Amino acid sequence: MRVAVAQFSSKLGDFESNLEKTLQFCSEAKDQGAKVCVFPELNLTGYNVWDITFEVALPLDSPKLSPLLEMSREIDIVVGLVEESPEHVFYNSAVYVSGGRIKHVHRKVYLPTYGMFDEGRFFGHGNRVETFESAFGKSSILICEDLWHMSTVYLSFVQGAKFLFALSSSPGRGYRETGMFGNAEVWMNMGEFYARMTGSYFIYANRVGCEDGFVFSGKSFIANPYGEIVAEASPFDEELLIADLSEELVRSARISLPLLRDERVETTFNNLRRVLDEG
Amino acid sequence: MRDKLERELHIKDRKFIKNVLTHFIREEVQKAGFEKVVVGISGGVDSALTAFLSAEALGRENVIGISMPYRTSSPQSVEDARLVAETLKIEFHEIDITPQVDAYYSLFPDADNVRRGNKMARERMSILYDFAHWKRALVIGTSNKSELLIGYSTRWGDSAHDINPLGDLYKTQVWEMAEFVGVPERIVKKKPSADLWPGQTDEGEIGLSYRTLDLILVGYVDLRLKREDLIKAGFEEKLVDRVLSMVRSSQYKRKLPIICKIAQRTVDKDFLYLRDWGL
Repeated sequence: MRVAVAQFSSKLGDFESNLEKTLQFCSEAKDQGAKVCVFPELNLTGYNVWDITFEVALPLDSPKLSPLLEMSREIDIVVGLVEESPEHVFYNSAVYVSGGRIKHVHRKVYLPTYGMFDEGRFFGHGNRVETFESAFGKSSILICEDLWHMSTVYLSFVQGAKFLFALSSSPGRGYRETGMFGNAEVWMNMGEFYARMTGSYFIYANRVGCEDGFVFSGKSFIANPYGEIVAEASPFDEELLIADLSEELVRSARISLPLLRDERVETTFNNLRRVLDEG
Repeated sequence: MRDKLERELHIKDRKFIKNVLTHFIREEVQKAGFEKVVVGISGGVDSALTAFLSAEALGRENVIGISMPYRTSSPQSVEDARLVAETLKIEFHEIDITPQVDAYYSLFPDADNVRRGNKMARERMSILYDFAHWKRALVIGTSNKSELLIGYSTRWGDSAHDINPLGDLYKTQVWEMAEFVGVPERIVKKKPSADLWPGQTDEGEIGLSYRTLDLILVGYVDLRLKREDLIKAGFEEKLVDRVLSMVRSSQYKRKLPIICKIAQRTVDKDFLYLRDWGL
């Protein structure tokens, strides 16, 4: 079970050229024997789309996605794009494409709207965290800020996800670490922690390149269910990161740390209900 | 709290930050369709660091340095500008701005230093942009975060440029980075001066040392501390007030002209696209 993470730099607002490069990465990933190729958040449009949102948005049945659907007959693909719903609400979405069709859609639930972020101004928020069957097994897709809220990871976990696809376009900031931006180090800490606590693979695809002086922090990685980083990309360069995943290791980790077995979802639910009721 | 502020200013991995800045310069220049930059070299540390980073990012053949002394400029400044160019082996021009400045002030012989200083800064800007057109280059700026935040610049003079690698580095961090990239020691160590009139020093004019200024600024800007918090951290009340008032009263210098809104969408308000749109 081989995964490829495409550490990608997008052209802001240029869907066609981003799609072309996405297909090239997919071909290369396929040649290297990967079953799934994972791209960063909004890789088909660029991250700071702002008012370009309404110009690059696509309904999921758009013919513009045909080349991607065609490619998915050869390799499964996770890509980020701006989705326009039939009701004309715009979402920061990621889709899992396989066998010529879109098999799963995740709409980003948590839209950062503070500091340098302004997503809530342009996007509607998703309200579902689901699992689906990827080429590897039960999986979830979460996007960037989603993962800073433990609840989304928890929801994937209790539904039994074994493979977390974590997509981000994280602008670099913080100069008090070594060899990477501060936020890249936080992502690694999160990946190690979440992988261990959920007994899952954490597959992190982040962007590189600049948009108006936002330098995306790269350092995509794959953490195994024991919370060990088994593959790690550079801070600046586009590259294809490859790792072999093993179901046996998920099993092994979940025997060694049976947190899923012991999880008391009902207790969580009852307490959440109580917290809500008590205001 | 003061320890926290000191730590907040410290760049742990200067090599990494140098790489961030050179990647930024290379990508933002090249994707705008350029290969070259012009930089005004004053003999001071900011422009020296900018020139060093540019040469590393683009190759020395793609950096054009211009020294633009006025008759009252210190001979040391002119010497140090030459030293930067010689060290980097970049294309270098020395243009005496005395005739063009004096021609104008022959109409106003009583003009004060500030008027004359501003005029010099704007003459230099116009020369940089003339070269930029001639050499098909972008103008790379040298304003650091300390001076941007207190407005220690001439509007449309030194503050006018196309890209700015140093704008998120405080002056004390510029010193650290300059030392790291190999800017000649005598340039790093000398007293900072805009050299707009004989004997002028930045710290004399601003009224406090860059060290103190940067500690107050990093507290106020990066950590969002309140005035009272800064005073409690041991800074003199009148210094804190002075810095905060400089920040507030110079906001206009950090903004483009404001437009009166009439229509649905207004260029400076809700026409929201990054400059890297399509790049």
